[in-house]
Amino acid sequence: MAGKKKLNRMRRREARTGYAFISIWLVGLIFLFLRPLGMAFYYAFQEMSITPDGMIYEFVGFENFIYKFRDDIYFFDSTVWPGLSKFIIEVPICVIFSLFIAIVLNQKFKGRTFARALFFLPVIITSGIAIQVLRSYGLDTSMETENTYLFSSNGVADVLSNAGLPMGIVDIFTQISNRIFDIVWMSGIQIILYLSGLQGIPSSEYEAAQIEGATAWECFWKITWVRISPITLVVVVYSLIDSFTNVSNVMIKFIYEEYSLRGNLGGSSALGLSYCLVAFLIIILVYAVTAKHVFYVNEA
Amino acid sequence: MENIIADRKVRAGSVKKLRIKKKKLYKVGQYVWAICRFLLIFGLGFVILYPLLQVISKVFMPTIQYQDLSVIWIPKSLTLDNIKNALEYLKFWPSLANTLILGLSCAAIQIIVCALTGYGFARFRFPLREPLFLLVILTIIVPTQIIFLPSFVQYRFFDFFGISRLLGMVTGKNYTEFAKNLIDTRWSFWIPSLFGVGLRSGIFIYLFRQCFRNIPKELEEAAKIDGCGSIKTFVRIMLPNAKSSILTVFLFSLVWHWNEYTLTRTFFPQNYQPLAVRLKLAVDGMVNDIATRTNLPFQMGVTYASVLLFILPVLMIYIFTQRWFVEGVESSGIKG
Repeated sequence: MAGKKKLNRMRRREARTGYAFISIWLVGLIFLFLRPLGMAFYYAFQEMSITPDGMIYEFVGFENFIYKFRDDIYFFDSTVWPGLSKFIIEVPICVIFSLFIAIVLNQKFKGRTFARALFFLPVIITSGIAIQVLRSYGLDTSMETENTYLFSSNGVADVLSNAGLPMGIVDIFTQISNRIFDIVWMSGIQIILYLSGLQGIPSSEYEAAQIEGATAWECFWKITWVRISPITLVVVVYSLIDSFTNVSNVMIKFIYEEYSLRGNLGGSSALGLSYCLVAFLIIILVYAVTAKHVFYVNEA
Repeated sequence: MENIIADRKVRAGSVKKLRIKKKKLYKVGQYVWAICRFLLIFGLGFVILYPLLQVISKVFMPTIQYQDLSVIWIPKSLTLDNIKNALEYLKFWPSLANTLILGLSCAAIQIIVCALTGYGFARFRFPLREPLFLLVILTIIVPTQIIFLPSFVQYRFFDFFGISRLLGMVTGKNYTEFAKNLIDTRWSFWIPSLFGVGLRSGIFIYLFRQCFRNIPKELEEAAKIDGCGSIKTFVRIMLPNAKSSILTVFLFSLVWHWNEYTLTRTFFPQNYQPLAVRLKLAVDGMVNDIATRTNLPFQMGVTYASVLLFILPVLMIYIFTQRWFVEGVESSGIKG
């Protein structure tokens, strides 16, 4: 009985120390994160303006959520859908690409460290702003903005369609090859994540498989792919978040400009929140589906 | 009998030959793969370095050669005009100082606060620990574009824990008279960093938690037996063991502050503008200025030079410290 009491007291003490350590963050979380987040919800229903005497609010209901869709019938097609659907093409390619590169970089060859550093380089520079500025100049003398791909592969598309491939396939191919730049530049973190995962697979498993006569193909699907699946989950979620919240995402850009250029604070908040909500739902859905197929060694 | 032996010999010979053939094939395959691998890495490396190479090539090229079709990569003559113009447009030295001060100070603050918080989450059991940690994750995934507006309003009329509201109630005036305007001061970055919700602080908390979890518990217990309190244990035992994580967080924080645009643009409309903001302003300014609006080669020259000046310092940092960046990501990825 006395021992239990002592244990309880120790537990409580431990909890107190724990809270002491996170207390600074907790204050910040409530006042500087949750409060602004709540305010964003509040703003979403208000028409507002900044004056020297503080803010002036006027309740407008759901007006901020729908005005854009009502005023501009192409809004969904031009901004919302591209903003949300970017991931449909990019995330799967990015995941496959980074796994492939990680496997290549995991092999022993000269200059491996250099190659690894090279593939991680985009993470350092990819602030968006430097690349965005460069892209607005097209990097070349052609001055098309927004949709300028830094690399385009019209020649390849012509060859393929002349070779008699159906347009659908050619289209997918050009979509991918046009995005090579984007994909290489967005998968720096993912490659490193996969690399660390690959290094965690014990080589004894491969040796055993080889003795049993498994081919490299079988080794990949039966060992690597299964062992790496927790990392895949992390990579998928990371890529999704990155794709949704990237500064170059049209929807994020629109939300920012709605405030900074047109001064519509309420509209910016409302669209931002609803966009975020939809994005979260998609992330949770993808997470749930992917998590089912993940294999954890410890649980097996 | 002899027949059988001879047969066996022949067979063994052919098997041997086959084996050698297979080995040779394997070796050839290895070589082919090595070449393919080299081409692949070389090609993708080119894709990664392409903007950099392009920028470097264009910066030292006189703008007159931009439309010269006979010049692609290597300029016919070299010039420093672009760099000179860019230095002027960027207000380079003061902006660089602003960027460095902001990045270094915030990095230092974030290291202290995030390490404390990460340690709290890693080592102590307390009620609501898991839900609170989920909130850490939430701070990572909510894009700044959602909360930067309310944050802007909050820092425009900064009211620390309701003190100004209280003063306002006591004196009967509007609270905004007591509220502090933190916009255009570095406090708009220091305050969130100080409270662990600064630029990507969530990731740093996560990183520190991962790191502290991997330090053996025996070390702490030994310290406790020797009579160290929890703060002392943290400072004397845990921090020295987390050196590599501290360095990683420092570097990432510095680089991310360097590259931050949305927040710096919003919180520094006039003063203390870092390079990222100046870069965009310089480019936009040239496009809107009558004197330079039609002079496209001039604009491009200055833009390329500005971009180079903007990324060069980060690039230098990365070249010397890339190991720590990569290791930081590696240590955070395993066992999410």
